[in-house]
Amino acid sequence: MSDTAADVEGQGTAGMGVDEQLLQGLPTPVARIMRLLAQRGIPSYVNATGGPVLVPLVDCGIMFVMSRSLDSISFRSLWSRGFSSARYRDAVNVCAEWNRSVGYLKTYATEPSLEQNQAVRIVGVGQIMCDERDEVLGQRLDDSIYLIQNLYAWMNDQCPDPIRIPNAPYGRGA
Amino acid sequence: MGQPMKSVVDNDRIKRWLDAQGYRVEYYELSWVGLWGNILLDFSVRGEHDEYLVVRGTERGSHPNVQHDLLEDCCNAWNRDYEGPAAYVQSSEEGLVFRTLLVVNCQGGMDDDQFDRLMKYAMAGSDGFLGFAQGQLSKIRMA
Repeated sequence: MSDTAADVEGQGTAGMGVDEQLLQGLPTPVARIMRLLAQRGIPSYVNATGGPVLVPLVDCGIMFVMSRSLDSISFRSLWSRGFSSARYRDAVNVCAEWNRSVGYLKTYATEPSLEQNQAVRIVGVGQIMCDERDEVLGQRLDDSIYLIQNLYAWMNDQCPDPIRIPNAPYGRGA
Repeated sequence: MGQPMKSVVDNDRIKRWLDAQGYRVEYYELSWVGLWGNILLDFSVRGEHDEYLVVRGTERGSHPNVQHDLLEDCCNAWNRDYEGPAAYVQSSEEGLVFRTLLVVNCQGGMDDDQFDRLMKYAMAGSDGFLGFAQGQLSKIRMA
């Protein structure tokens, strides 16, 4: 069995509940995040080592990572769209504009790398404070996902997809 | 043993914490504002339900407008490599200024220990960024 085949899914459709037996094998804080996400109808995944909790959304993937002190949870989201390396400056500028004028979570552009096939990616990061009350931590998780979705909706407005909208800047019809 | 008491994070609590640390601040446009070394920090709560603690930092001094891309690269490198506040560049009459912004959702409140750690983290982040940026700029000047 490969490592990925051993991955665990926290069956996350509203009303379905999570597979408690699978969650029992995970570190308690990780299982708790997955359970809270599942209660919200959000599927999440974690690898067999109980590492970061991954939430795949339409526009991005989000990783929730518990701090070592268990005091906070950081989240890091990767936008599904990328920029070519020639547009690195555009990517930096659009991130700077978000940080300057909207904020709430910070965003940055990655440098072109072989790993990313020379693409420049947009990442949004933030953190929430842990709380032992499920309703409070759940609201904070909700809010982090809401902010991330706002970020990428804003990015889509600023940088229309040239494939879906050919007349947009860098589109074939422009 | 019971859980520590969770109190709402509001402007009064921010002021009490700043007073307890011995920091001098003034209330200006719904924020507590003070100067720490080379950084002007302002603390406030924002959001529809005042659920966000917002800490903004503004560097004293400025940089020439021609350095815009260089400064923006510094901010992007910080935002990429370090946890803590977002860093960005703002235009002003004097030139370009580094700014930082940390926003944390505090809905539901938090206990005093957690609030203390959060406030110290927020303050240290702005200072950390300016140190990082100065280091980056001196490296570039030396090169």
